[in-house]
Amino acid sequence: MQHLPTGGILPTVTHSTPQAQIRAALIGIVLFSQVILAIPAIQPVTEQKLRSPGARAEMRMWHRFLTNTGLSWTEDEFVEHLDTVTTGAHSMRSAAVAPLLPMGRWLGVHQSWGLFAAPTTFPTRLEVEIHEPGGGWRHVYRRLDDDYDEMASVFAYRRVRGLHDSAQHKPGKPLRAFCNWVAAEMFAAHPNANRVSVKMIQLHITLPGEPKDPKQTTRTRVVVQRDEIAP
Amino acid sequence: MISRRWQRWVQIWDLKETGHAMAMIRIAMGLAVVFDYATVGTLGLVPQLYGDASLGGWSGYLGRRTPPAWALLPDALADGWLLWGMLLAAGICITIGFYTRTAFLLFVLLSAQHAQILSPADRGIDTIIRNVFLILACSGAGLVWSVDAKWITGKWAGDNRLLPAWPRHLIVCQLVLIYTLAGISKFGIQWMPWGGHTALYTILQDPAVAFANFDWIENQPWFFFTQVGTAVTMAWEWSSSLLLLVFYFRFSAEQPGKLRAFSNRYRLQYIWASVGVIFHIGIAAMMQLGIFPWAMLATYFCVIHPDDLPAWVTGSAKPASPVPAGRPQTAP
Repeated sequence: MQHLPTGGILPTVTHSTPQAQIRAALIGIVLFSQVILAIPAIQPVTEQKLRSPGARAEMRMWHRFLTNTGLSWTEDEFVEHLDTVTTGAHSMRSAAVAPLLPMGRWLGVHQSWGLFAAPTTFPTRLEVEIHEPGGGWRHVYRRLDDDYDEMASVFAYRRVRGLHDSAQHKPGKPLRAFCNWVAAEMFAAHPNANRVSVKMIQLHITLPGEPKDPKQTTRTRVVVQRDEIAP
Repeated sequence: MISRRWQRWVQIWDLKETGHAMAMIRIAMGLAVVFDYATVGTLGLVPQLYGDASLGGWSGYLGRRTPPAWALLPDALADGWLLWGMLLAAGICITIGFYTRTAFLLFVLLSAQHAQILSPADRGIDTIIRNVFLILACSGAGLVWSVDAKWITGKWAGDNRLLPAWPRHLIVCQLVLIYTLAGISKFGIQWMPWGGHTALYTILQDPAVAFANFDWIENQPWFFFTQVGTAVTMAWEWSSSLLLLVFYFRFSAEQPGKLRAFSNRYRLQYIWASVGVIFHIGIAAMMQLGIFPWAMLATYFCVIHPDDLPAWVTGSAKPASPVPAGRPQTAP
């Protein structure tokens, strides 16, 4: 069987039309601009960023690895250098992509592809609880828990996950609006409930062979009272 | 030398082919988009994701700086149904190839507006879809297997006319950028050999993205498989830039060279794509990322040269000449 290609081979002609030349030039400009936009968007690794347990754990692993390869910096020195290098890289990229950003915003196009760049060992799990008079708090939803799966398909939907998975310690306006909506839905489903709590519980993933860390901390919690929700 | 290289560059972007591969991307990605917007509707999330905060929307943007669509149609777009409906309609038009170019452009502009309104709900795959649709808006993707084809040629499948191949090649460049950058950006030590290749294990323990509870993969041999998966992911993403070389080898198939001959003989682009198909099916089976794996797989049709498709797909014999005058009829 002949496996050689049958099409897509360049012609042997030596001249092209002006239209083809202009098109090739424009495509070259587009490709160049996209490569500029694709420069990895390194975020400055500052002391403040390293307050997150996940980021600190990641930094320590890199420091341990580099120490083993002969680096003589202390952890503080390493953080200082990391801050300098990443802040510089961030500034350079920002300056390079600045002229291209308006077009990117209008068309919603960019080239930042940090897919699972640094998997976190401190992920969060969404939980929803309701409070009923005399009954206390009880779960109605806990991610990946079949016993508490009310509205599971909504919470798992990718666009909704974008709101709660990226939640910061202090909930922003979209997350607050999301929590109010969840509360309204839960109040409708549970007429006796007087409060709804939406929580992001932080877990610690350990590797096989390492001791398990059962500690779970509440990273974000929004409590909504029934009388806060408009009827 | 520069003149010769420029000439080759011009020739690469001047190649022509039938529109079957681009139509495959259009239909597959269109289906993913329609499924996604239909999901929003069935989950009852239209006002929340697309509407104004005063009407129950989750947007933190409206009220701070009004996006252009809202400045033009403030009342009509307030509850989100019109925006969502137009996006769904554009997705359907793209899939069936009805006013295809207009539908591509409309979808990109409206989807970009939504990205501004509620950016946390606009994911990476939404950007990829916009990038690809913007390229396809400049292509003849709507002239094959479409309503437009029926109108223009009298046949649903079109008339096998030759169209510019550069949009497909540009999507190949987009794929290469995505995977190469995704590989370079993976600075987390868990992706590295000295981090134990534990990234995939860690991701599958993250309840936000895991499809199910994967506690059991801490046991062997499953943990080992996750390490192999991590290593293969890195190697595959880092090597994806070689796809450009494979394509260049095809463009220049008449030139000598053992590597070129090897690449063309074994069609390495299809081997690379096969690994990607397995990779994304694995993601679909193990992670809950919505349409991400399926929309990504839709772009894979870009590695297919229409001449490589069997006659039962294209519905006819190969076109007489896939490139302008002067092109050799067949490969050596």
